[in-house]
Parts: sequence; structure tokens; C-alpha cells
Amino acid sequence: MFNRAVTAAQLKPWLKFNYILKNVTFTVRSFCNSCPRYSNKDDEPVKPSILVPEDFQAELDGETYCPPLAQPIKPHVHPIKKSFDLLGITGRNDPKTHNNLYFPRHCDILIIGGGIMGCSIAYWLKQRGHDNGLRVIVVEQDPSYTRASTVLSVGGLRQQFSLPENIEMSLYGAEFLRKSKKLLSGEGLEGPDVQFHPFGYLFLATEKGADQLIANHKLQTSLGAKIQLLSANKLKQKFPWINTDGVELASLGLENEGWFDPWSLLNGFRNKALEMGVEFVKAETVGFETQETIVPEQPGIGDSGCYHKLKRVHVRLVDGDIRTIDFSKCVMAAGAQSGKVSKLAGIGLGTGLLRNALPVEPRKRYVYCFHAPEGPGLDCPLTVDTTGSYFRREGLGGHYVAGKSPTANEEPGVANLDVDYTFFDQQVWPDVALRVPGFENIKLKSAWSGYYDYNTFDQNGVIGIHPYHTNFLFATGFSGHGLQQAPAVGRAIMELVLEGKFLTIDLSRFAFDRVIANQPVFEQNIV
Amino acid sequence: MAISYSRLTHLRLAEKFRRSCTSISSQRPVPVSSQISKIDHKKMMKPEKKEDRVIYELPKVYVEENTTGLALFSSNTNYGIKVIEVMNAIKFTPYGLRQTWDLFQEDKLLRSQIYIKERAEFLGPELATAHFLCFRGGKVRFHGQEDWITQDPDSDMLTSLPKFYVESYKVEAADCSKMTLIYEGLENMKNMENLKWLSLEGCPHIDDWCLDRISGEYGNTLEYLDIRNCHRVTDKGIASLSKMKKLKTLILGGHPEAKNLELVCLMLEDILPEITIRGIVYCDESLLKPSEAKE
Repeated sequence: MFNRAVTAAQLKPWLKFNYILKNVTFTVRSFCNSCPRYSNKDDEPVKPSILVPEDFQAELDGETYCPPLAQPIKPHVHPIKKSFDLLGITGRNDPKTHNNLYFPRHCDILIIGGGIMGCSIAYWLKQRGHDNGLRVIVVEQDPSYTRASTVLSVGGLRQQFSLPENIEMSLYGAEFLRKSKKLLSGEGLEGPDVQFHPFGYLFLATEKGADQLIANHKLQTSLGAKIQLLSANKLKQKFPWINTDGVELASLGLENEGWFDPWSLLNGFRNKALEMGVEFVKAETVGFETQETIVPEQPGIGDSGCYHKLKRVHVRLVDGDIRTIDFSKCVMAAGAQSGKVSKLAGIGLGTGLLRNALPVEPRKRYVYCFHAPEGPGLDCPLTVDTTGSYFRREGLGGHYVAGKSPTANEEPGVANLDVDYTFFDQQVWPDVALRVPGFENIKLKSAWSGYYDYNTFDQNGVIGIHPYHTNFLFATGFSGHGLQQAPAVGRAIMELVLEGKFLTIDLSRFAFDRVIANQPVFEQNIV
Repeated sequence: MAISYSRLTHLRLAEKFRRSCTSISSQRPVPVSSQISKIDHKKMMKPEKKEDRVIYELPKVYVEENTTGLALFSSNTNYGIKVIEVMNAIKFTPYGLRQTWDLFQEDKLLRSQIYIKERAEFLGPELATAHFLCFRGGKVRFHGQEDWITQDPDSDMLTSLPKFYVESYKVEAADCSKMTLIYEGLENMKNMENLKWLSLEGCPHIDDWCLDRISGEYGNTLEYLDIRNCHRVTDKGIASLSKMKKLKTLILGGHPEAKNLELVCLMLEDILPEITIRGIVYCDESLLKPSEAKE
């Protein structure tokens, strides 16, 4: 009966502007990225030095275009049934949703991904959120974690990085693990036993890499990590089972380094978050919705503009039902699938600040477990060879775990988690057997594979707020060293959300801005 | 009447005074004129260089300091999260009260054992450790001397320990049995290059992480270690003692959480050349006796 557009315009007067001026084209200055213009030409400042390539600078000066996001078709529900749904009567004891009575329709902070990052962020936010102050929802596709990177990881903890932020995050990770039993315990809830094996990491370097190792060591010790440099002779004295051919220098972690059980930490975070009131929803993210908000003109700063704010997420439940959740802020912690899910929010599909997609994609890595009766024995740190292969002891029965990151042209496909045993025979075993003569006689027992949330840009985490979608935060792309940094990243995201800036560790260098400015921050010690 | 403070109290008071001075000077009010000025675009677009770190700042249009006059009253420290923490009500359930009490006790313990840099700088690492341990009920023996030095029960002052740096005092043995030493407290015992004898018998807070710290600190010199009745130690912590190559005597006992203790000790005996492990029974002697076969 009534024209829908007219009704909408009458109900939301700030959108009337759109309908009236639809046919008139004018350049709209987008919020957040424009250089302010002054009415008086003499007051205009000198053009600043260029951070980004020239053609891209022109695009940044112009409008950031947020494309209309693909909305999945909502199934038709009878209007009477729909009104009962809205009242909340039929939502009670819904077996489709995971661990919830009513399906949540809105929240303060939505976390996409329930792995170690998502659970850590949920714990930190809820811990400071004052009982029922913050409503936090975690959307996790697979609560049994069959393909999650967290539970398939080797579980290493090390401070031997080359970037100060990485070192500080790992130091805090060690401190948190030490206190995790107390912090993650609650009434009737026992804290996790992370089973930390304090055996250290051993990095071996040839003549070419020795300078880098010495520089790294200086930085690490200045920040409080306890690392010792060993020459080839001292290395042979300390570990008689090692073959020091080609090794010029080695660095051994003395304290707070080793490996632990990722399952216990994940369960610890998750159970504590559940106890504090975080809601876990078993669903898959399929789309986002934006709302156009008119930004009023501010004299001296800029003209009025139209800003597409992310408002709502569409999730698909197990049986195909699509539901929506309104949020105020959204945190992307989806691990290997982050790039794909960010595209649903328009990141990478627009122009200007939305031109660059999140450069995170899944990469498959293999881990092999074998039995070696003549192996190193008890005193075996997680040794990283000059070739990139690594191995560590597993248990007390003479079992060892080994792996290697393949080169760029040998990357395996990511469609499934099948293991390629020829990679072990051709790449991993020769390196490892050369380094440890006791590994010549082994028996391969089992193997598994998992995904790295690999940051193709510079292999370091992306932590921060997106410059256009200011209510969209990233905590992903750690490329294999995310597990040990999870407590620190959770705390950093909590500070960003509640305070607006970093308070403890300054992670501004890891923001998404570096992808737009095309200035990578490389980590030299990638395993 | 002249009040004589010990050197340590002097240091504590000096540090407190110094800290209070810096906190006052940091709360300088922002002058009003700087807020009404135009936005500095050069500063906004240029990357700030802090040491070697380049921080990429895309231009911020809405900057709070330039638009609010109330910035005059704000301090540099942020209280946002602290306000939320204070607003967290104390839970008046039995569990909540017990939790608050436990947190209070832990905080007290931590503050009593935190590492004081000035003490180590003034006394040198060896004497600083000696002062730290003796003041809290431990015993220390120096190289070349035969007597154990403890706190004199009659007075608060430690008359037998020098109060200034003396080079010839090297700590050779430390007896920390039944002390409430925690992980952060062990940091006070670092940089001791001559420690050969260490006893942590009956310390309730010693766990795997503390053993990791001990084996990292004294890995080259320690010869005797006693960790009886440390209830939180597991076999992983004892396995980490394989890093100590000069360990000659290890005394164990009373570890309910150590599952594969006998296996770990056998493997330790393989790796460490001169070790003797006391307190471990590898097999039950009664099983070796011939049984009476009844046919």
C-alpha cells in the first residue's frame, strides 16, 4: 500500500538526503583519509612527502569506495512465525545454536574465529568488561577444532626473534603461561596444566648467517631474554650428539623457552571465557551488512561525506539457517581463513583504503613423528638447522617430531590435510640425519599436517584497526608463531578496544597500514 | 635521638622520593594556546621515527587534543582501564572473598621478594643475594669460610654480613629450605658465578618454571641440588636439570605430581657424567626375593 522508499525516508530523516540528491553527482570527501581543504587558498599547507606510490596516492586522496556487499538470500519465514521469533519465544532451547538459549541478535564485540587468538581476546575483554558490562560473542565454525591451526601446532615457545615487538610478546607469553593455572581458574573450574617442557630452542647458523644471529642476540638480551651464543666447539661439548659441520655459531635459549601443550591452553582460555559469560556460536560467517552514515561537515577539517559503517554479520548455522548479529566492533581472528572472510567485509574489493585485501592465506605444513633409539636423549632442545628443518624430542620413549617449511615453489595444495610422506624422505630426513648421526636409523611412526595463517606480505601478524572500517580489528596472519603470542595479542586487542591505543607493548608497526603503505616489516627468524 | 636506618632502608627511601619527584613533573598542564592552532599537516603525514622504528601514520582528521578545551585538565596517564577494574565489585560469596584474600597475600609476597636493582648495584650480586636470603630466614656460606651465616635472632640487624661491597665474599652454598621463595624472588639470586650447593627442601612455591630458571642461571657451576618435598615439581622440571653438566648430587623425594620419575632419573644418569641421585627407588627390593613356590 505505501511506497517503501517514502516510508523509510520519513522514518530516518538523515537518509532523506540520499533520496533527494540521488541524481546529482558531486565529489564526496570520504571520512578518515582526506587532506583538509581551506576556503582561503593561502592557508593551504605544502604538499607532504609521499609515503605511497604516486598513482596510489591519487587514489587515496580521492574517495574510498565501499562496494555493496553481497547479501545472502534470507529464507522466507511466515510473518506470524517471524513475529514470535522476534519476541524470543521460539528461540528458547534451540538445539541448532551452540551453547545458548536464545540466539544472540546483538552484541558489543564480535570475534570471528574461536581458535587460540579468538579465545584469548574473549578472555581478556570479558575479564576487564566488568561482569555483564561487555557482551562478547565468538563465532566459531568448528568447535571440535578438527582443522584449526592451534591444536595441530608443534607448540613452541621462544624469544629468539629479530623484531623487538615479537620478543616482547613472547616474553609476556611465557609469563602468562607460568601464571595460567591461577589466572584461568574459577569457581569450580580448575586451571589448565600447560605441560611446559623447558628445554630451549637451538638455532644453528652458517658463516653467512652469523652476523644476523649476533645482532639478534644483542637485541634479545637487551629486552630481557636469556640467550647464550655458542661457538662450534662449545656446541659439540654441550651436545655431543650433534654434527657441527658447516655450523659457525649457535644460539641457545636458557630460560622461558621450550614447548607446551596447545590444547590445554586453548581449553583453559575457552572454559574461563565461558565461565565469565562469553557466548560461543557454532556458525560460519557468510556476509556483512553496512549502514550509510552521513558524516556532518566540520569547519576547518572537511566537507560532509558518506561513510559505510559495518553494522551486522550474517552467519549460517549447521542446518543452513541464516541469522544476523548486530555488533559494535568486530575482531578478525579467523586464522588461515581470515583473508577470505575479510573480503566479505569489502576489504580488498573497493578503492582507496579498501583496495588492499588482507594478505593472509592458508599454507599447509607437515609434521612427522619418528622413533630413533640412538637419538639425542633427554637433553634435546628444539633444534632449528641451517637448512630450515627442525626437530624436537617427544616424550621419554625415544620419539622425535620434525618438520620443515618448504620453499616457495614447493608449496603443497591446501584443499585438504593429507600428508605427503615423500617430503619427509626427500627433504626433512636428509637434513636431520646429516645434523644428528643418530637419526640415520629411524622408523617413521606417524605424521599430521596443519595450516599456517601465512601472511604473504611479510610473515608477521596483522594487529590493529582497519583505517576505513574503524570498528574492524585484525589479530591474524602470524605465520606459525601465533600460539606463543596469543596472550600478548589478546591483551593488546583489549587495550585497543577499551582504551583506543596500546598501553603495554607498542604494536603500531604491525598495523594494517603497512599493507597500504607497502612497507613490510620482515622477521628474519621464521621457522 | 638519632635514628639509624640500615643501608637498605636508605635505598628504599631514596627510591621512593625519586619516584614521587618524577610523577609530579610528568603531570604538566597543556597550555591553552596550542589547542586553537591549526592542525599541523607536515607532522601528520611524516612518519615519526622512534629510534629505528618507523610508525606509519595515515592522516588523522579528528584529533581530540585539538578540539576539546577540557584537555587542559587531563593527565598523561590513562585511567580508562583502571576505572573499569575499580568498578569491578568485590564478590561477597565465600569463593569471591577467598579469591580476594589470596590475591592480596600473593601481591604481598611478590612485593616482599621483588628484585631491587639498587641493592645488587651497591652490594654486588653475591652480597646482595646473601642479604636477601638471610633476611628471609635462609642460610648462606661463603667460599673459604666454614660457618653458615644466618639472621641473628636477637636483633634485626645482620651484624655478620658486610654492608658494603667486598670482593672476597663469594657465595658458595645457599640453604633456602622451607623459605617461601617464588619465581620472581629467584631473580635476586642471579649472576652468582660460584654457587655449588643449593637446597630448596620444603619450599612450597617451587615448580617447573623455577627449576628452569635455576638450571639456566647455575647450569655451569652447581654440584649439589636438593629439591625434596617441592610438591609442584613434575618430571619435566627434573628432566630440565639435564642442562646442568656439573651436577654431582641430586636429592629427590616427595613429588606427588611427577609421573615418570624413575625413567627420567635413569635418563639423567645416562647424560650427566658424575651424577648420583638419592631418594629414588628404582625397583622394589622385596620383588627380587625368591618366592616360595607351592606345588
